[in-house]
Amino acid sequence: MKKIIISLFSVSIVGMACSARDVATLAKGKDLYNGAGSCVACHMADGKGQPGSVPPLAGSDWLENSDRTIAIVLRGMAGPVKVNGDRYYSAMPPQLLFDDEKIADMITYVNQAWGNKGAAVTAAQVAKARKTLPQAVYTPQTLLKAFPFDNKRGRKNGTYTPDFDDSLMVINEPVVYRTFMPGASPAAFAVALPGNHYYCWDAGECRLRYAWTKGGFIRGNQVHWSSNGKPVAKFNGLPYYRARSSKLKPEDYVHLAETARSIPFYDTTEAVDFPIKIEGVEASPKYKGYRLIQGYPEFIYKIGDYEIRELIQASKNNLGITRKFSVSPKIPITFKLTPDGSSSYSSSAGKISSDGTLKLTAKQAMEFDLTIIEKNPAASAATQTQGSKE
Amino acid sequence: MKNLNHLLMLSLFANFAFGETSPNYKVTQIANPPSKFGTKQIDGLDFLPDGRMVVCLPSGEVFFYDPKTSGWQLFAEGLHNPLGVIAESNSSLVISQRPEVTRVSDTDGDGKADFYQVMSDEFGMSGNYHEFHFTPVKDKEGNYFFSLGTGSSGDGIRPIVRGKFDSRGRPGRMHSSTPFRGCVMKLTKDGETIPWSYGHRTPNGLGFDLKGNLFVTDNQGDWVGSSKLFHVKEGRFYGHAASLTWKSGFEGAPLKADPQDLARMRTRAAVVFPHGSMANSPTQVLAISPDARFGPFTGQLLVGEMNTNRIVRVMLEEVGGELQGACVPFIDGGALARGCNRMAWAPDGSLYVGHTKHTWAGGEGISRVEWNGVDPFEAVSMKLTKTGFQFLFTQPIDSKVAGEVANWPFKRYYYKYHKTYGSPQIDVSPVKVKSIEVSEDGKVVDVHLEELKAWHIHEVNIKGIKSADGTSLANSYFAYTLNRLLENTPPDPLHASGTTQKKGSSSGKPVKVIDPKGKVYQVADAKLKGVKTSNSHDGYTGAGYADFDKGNESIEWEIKSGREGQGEILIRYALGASARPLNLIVNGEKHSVLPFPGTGGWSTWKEMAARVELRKGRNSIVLVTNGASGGNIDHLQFIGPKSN
Repeated sequence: MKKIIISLFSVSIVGMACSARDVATLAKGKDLYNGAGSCVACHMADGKGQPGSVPPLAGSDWLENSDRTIAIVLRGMAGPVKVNGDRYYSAMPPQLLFDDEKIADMITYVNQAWGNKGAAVTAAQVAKARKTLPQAVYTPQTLLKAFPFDNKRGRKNGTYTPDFDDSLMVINEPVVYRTFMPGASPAAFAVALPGNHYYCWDAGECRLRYAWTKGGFIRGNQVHWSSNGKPVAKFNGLPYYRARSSKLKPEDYVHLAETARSIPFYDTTEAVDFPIKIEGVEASPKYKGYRLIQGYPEFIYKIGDYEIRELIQASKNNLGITRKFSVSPKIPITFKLTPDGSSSYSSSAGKISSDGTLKLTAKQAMEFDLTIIEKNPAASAATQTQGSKE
Repeated sequence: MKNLNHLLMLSLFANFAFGETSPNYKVTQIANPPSKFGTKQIDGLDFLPDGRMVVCLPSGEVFFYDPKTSGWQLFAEGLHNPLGVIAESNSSLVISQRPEVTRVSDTDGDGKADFYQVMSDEFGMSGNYHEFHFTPVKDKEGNYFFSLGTGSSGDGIRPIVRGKFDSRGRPGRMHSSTPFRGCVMKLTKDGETIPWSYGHRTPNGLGFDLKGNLFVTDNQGDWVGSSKLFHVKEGRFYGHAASLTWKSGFEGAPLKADPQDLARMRTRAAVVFPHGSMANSPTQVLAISPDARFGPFTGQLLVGEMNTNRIVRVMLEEVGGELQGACVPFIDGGALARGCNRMAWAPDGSLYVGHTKHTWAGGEGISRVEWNGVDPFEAVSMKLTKTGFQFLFTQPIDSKVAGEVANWPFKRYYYKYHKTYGSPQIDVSPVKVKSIEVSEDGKVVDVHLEELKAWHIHEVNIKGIKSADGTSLANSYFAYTLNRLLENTPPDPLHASGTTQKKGSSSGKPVKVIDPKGKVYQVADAKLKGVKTSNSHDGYTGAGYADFDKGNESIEWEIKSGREGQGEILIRYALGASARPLNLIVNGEKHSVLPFPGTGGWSTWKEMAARVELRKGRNSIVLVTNGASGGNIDHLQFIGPKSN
């Protein structure tokens, strides 16, 4: 009886001691997670990661074994993993810049943040692992051999066999698909660019609809092709650029992948906000097709008798995309640049006024570039590094 | 439910057991193209001038195949559900993909397409999955035709649709809420896109015969009682209501239109494929060209079938100014996969077949069908005669077996035209064979039937036919779509009856006939055999009139005469066509043939008089058809024998 009381007592002492120490540890861990450690860039402040790409830390079964977590943090892991039943393909780089204590603080924070109820990790545990673990970056297979899951968790956690979409994790040459895309007319393009920028171009309205980089290209499109053709493509990131359309209210955006509507928001004969204006030409743009130039589609469309060509590549600094335009025959144009809040425009010619109007002379309009940059690209750049081959 | 479906499917396929590929045709498989997505479904297939084959895959990939080396080469990719291809040169293709007709070309000679040029996107897309864009075909003048599927109520539409949205076409099991869904389209050689015909549901396959007639198939469903083959002509409406949204001159919503009006607008199918026994989901139409090496069937049509492993052969003839004819299974079962979706003739005259399924019943891969040069034992043709059908066989038959009436179990029926999905077979009746004549050379069999009924499908599964050397007939199940007879075709019953021509009758009540001379016996007072009552046309008396159709139909009145002697009957009738005589039978004895000349319109009523000998008390007066149809009979007026 006595024994039990003592042990209960000692537990509570330890508990108190821990929670006192915890406050400081957790604060340090949280700072590292959100700051120098850059964990936040991929795993996000809420620990939920990014669907399809970066696994969550909040509620992750993988954290049940802190030795496994330490191994992943110290050595890194590359390869597709299943976490709590979902698939993720981004690689985890080894954290080489932090000492044992900092790594212990970060893991302790992760183990106890967002409702996680894992153990605190000590610098000694990290130090021991640093000495004993093999030097190579883990694959899911080698990691799980060393730190296996029990049968119950093993069903929902582990690795998976990559399919074609997974080979598109790193884009080395442009990929062009015509398919159903959310937020576009049914005559849409999904294009992946070297540099891992992606965009949706809408042949129904002759315009770039949106661009994104986080979360990878559209996935599972084989389902659309080989099935009855119903599924609308999915991708995991959020667009950093979205073309303005006063036909769509912000609250409409959550509905843009729907297929079961009885009436549409609008049809393309009612489309407004076409960004290029040529004085005296009222005609709606007319899509004519595309050429592949080194694999990049160059879209061709006409406004009245004027032909516009548009080819999109990743921008030079890879922080966004560059749209290369040419207009012929020679004519001055006005380009209305109205990106939404998370990106900004620059032009190789002319000057963009404060309301986003770009007036180009006939000569300038013959060939000009517009570059769209994500306004706060730090997070995406970090993802980019992890997605790339290095 | 799943199990039940499975059982239904099994029983359904069991019904398809009528056919068999003749041993003179061999079916082999071609290795699949190396799709990076592992796709094995083939959605488009043609041959390049240089003899290579081109195929389109659901994945948007387009491959070339060299039969000499069995090698595959990727030509294009990224297309959206391409469902048909025409190889115009070795480096330029015309492809039907969901959003467009697209010219896909290799302009720099590196063997891969680099230019995707819009030829036509002048049609709408609601984003509904069922809005397939089927096969392009090209006529001899260089015009293209393509066909547009309707949307399905299996899903709705997208938030942004391409083309003008019209809510009139939105309701219904299959819908057409953006331009020209459910139309066959013409893309002229000058680049103009025109809706060419209306009333199509799932028109998965166009094709020309050797005379340049354009055909399109349609799949069983709403407004399509059983799958069909239509002879496409400009501006015509073929039955599925949704696309009327886009027909100039049509007002209101298609589903609110009077179905009788639609029936009158409709052009009937040249061939109906009986559902569950001939074809459930017909696909492409391909003429057996003189370049094909495929047996003695040049000029006939092949039609692929999705649900089963079958290719149907179609034999058409012109009757009464329109094409109609028979279908028979041809390449059937065995090594042939299901989902026979696209077909083309190889330079060596063999047939290549692309198989697909898209989650429906179907198959995968590519088949090649070769003929060994020996005529199969088949019927080369089934033709309508005045009294029945004439079959021409490739070889002399055993005339003893063929001469047995019991071996030709003909039956006839029709399918309903209505907005409901599919239709049972209606009015199924055996058709008695009167006699059979076999020609001296044993190749021609004339089957004389007791009756030929227009606007009915006549089918037979011939039993036991063998050639002189004992070979069984490879395919013995024939279905002839008998719209028109060689002579005296009665009007389409769906055209003749109905409610819409009653215009004005809402105000004008039936005319009351009060004639002091005699007693009026209405149709309602009579015993009708086969005759239906109707009230579509104005001017009748009583509750309606008797609408004679062809066949053994009759009206019998029982009239009471106060005395024996000669009386007079006056029969009030309307007849908007040429004369239709009826037999008059009085008290069981044939009296005469009453000529019933045309009255000048279905609402123009006249009287036909006859003097008849009557007995005291009850007398039977019968009007019975005389081998053809009769007019609309309103009533009988009886003036009894005078006392003298």
